[in-house]
Amino acid sequence: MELKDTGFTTENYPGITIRGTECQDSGGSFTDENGKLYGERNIDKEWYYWADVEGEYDAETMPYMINGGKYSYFTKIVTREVDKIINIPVLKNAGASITNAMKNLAFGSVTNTGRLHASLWNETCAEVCAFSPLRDKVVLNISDGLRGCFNGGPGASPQFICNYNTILVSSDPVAMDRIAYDIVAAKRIEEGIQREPTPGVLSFLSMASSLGLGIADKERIDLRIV
Amino acid sequence: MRPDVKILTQSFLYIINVRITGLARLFFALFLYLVSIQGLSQDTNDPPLLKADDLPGAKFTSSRSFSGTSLFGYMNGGAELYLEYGLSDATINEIEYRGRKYKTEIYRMNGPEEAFGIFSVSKYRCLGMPQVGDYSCCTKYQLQFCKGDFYINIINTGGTRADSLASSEIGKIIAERIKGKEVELSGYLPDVERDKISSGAFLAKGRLGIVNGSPDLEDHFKGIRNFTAVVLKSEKNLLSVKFNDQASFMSFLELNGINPDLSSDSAVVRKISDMHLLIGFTR
Repeated sequence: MELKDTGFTTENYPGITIRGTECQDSGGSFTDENGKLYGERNIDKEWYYWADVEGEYDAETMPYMINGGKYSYFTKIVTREVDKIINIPVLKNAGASITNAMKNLAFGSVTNTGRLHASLWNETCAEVCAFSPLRDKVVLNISDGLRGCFNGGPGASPQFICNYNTILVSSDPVAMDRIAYDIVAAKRIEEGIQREPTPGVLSFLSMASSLGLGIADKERIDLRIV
Repeated sequence: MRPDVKILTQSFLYIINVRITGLARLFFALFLYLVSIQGLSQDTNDPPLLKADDLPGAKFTSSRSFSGTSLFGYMNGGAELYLEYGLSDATINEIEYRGRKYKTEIYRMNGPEEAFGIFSVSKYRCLGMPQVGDYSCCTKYQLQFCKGDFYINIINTGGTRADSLASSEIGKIIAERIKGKEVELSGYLPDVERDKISSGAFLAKGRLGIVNGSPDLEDHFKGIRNFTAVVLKSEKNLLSVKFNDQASFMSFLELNGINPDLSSDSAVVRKISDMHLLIGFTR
């Protein structure tokens, strides 16, 4: 969905620039008069995440990926247009793991992500966030857990949507995700989706911690409930 | 005979009467008739969409189509699960009907197994299984069913009885338009009643299906590909898994400590056919 489809419009938020990397014109087209994707204007080829997995997409998919191949380019929004980033993910499961702060930043900042979901999900979540446009600009993470999902994620299937009634706030996205995992896992256990926590699925947090992006060890996290 | 086919055939016969005589006319007409039937019988390939006059007074406010990987444009990473099963295309419509809003998601999968598979991991705490499609599940806000190659999801925003009735009405219209074979699961779970399969089984064709259907089985399929698994969770848990190649089959045996003679310390294993096992397990 486009940002405007979810209420992010200039009418609702006057004075605020609302931008996305992939975009359509007012007629709904993803391409300009020369057949080039509008999204291509929004990517910064000086910043990229290279992985030895080829992205191959048909013409219908390309507007959402911007490019194929082995390079995922950062959006100019993070590399050139903003000085600071406040990351606002929605609290969701991703299988037995979660998609929250790290996933939102990583997959939301680069192109050609379809190839990364299946084989490099954990690596992408950690390594993309280690690039300086994200590492140095993200100052705050606010996880919207008022409503989220506990299964079927990251898709939003109505039967799995729930009210976590929680907002998580942290300057450390790694620590936030570690705590977020406990909330989602508890709900999954309560609903009978799984029997016990499986923190082994959080390898992306261990990777991120080893890259100096935050604290993944729950014993070292200072959690305050307000 | 469908009216449009009749008209086409009559047109061709008229042309034939003018130009060709004798027996040749008969054979030529027959040939053209068969060609016209073939050309116009493509509706089994069309998605079973609602039409304007199906729901009197309804407004179709939005319609979008996606095929294959372009489903990422609709649901981002959620598309992975559908692609793992095998998705051909999806059509999403939003409808205003009797003052209420509905969304229909029509997913054409690559076959009946695939359609049942995505249905089986998507249903949850069904309040009922109405008689629509081959397998169905309804909750306050949703009616899901599968029929032939299609998985259908009808979402309402009100959660009222009127919404459920309207969803059922919409679902039946869609289901009527679907032609295709019902998924055949008896080969996976012999001697298991259809009702038990309907309420308790899921089908997976890869890691994501396993993780969504039964996360506690994920470790038993780590790195394993090219399989179809049907899992029945009940007082007696059954895993029926069929492999497409010998290498995947042997990898599964090795991963799970099942000897090639099918003995195991932790499960009861029975061979249904070459590369197809039925395993009884405790949770």
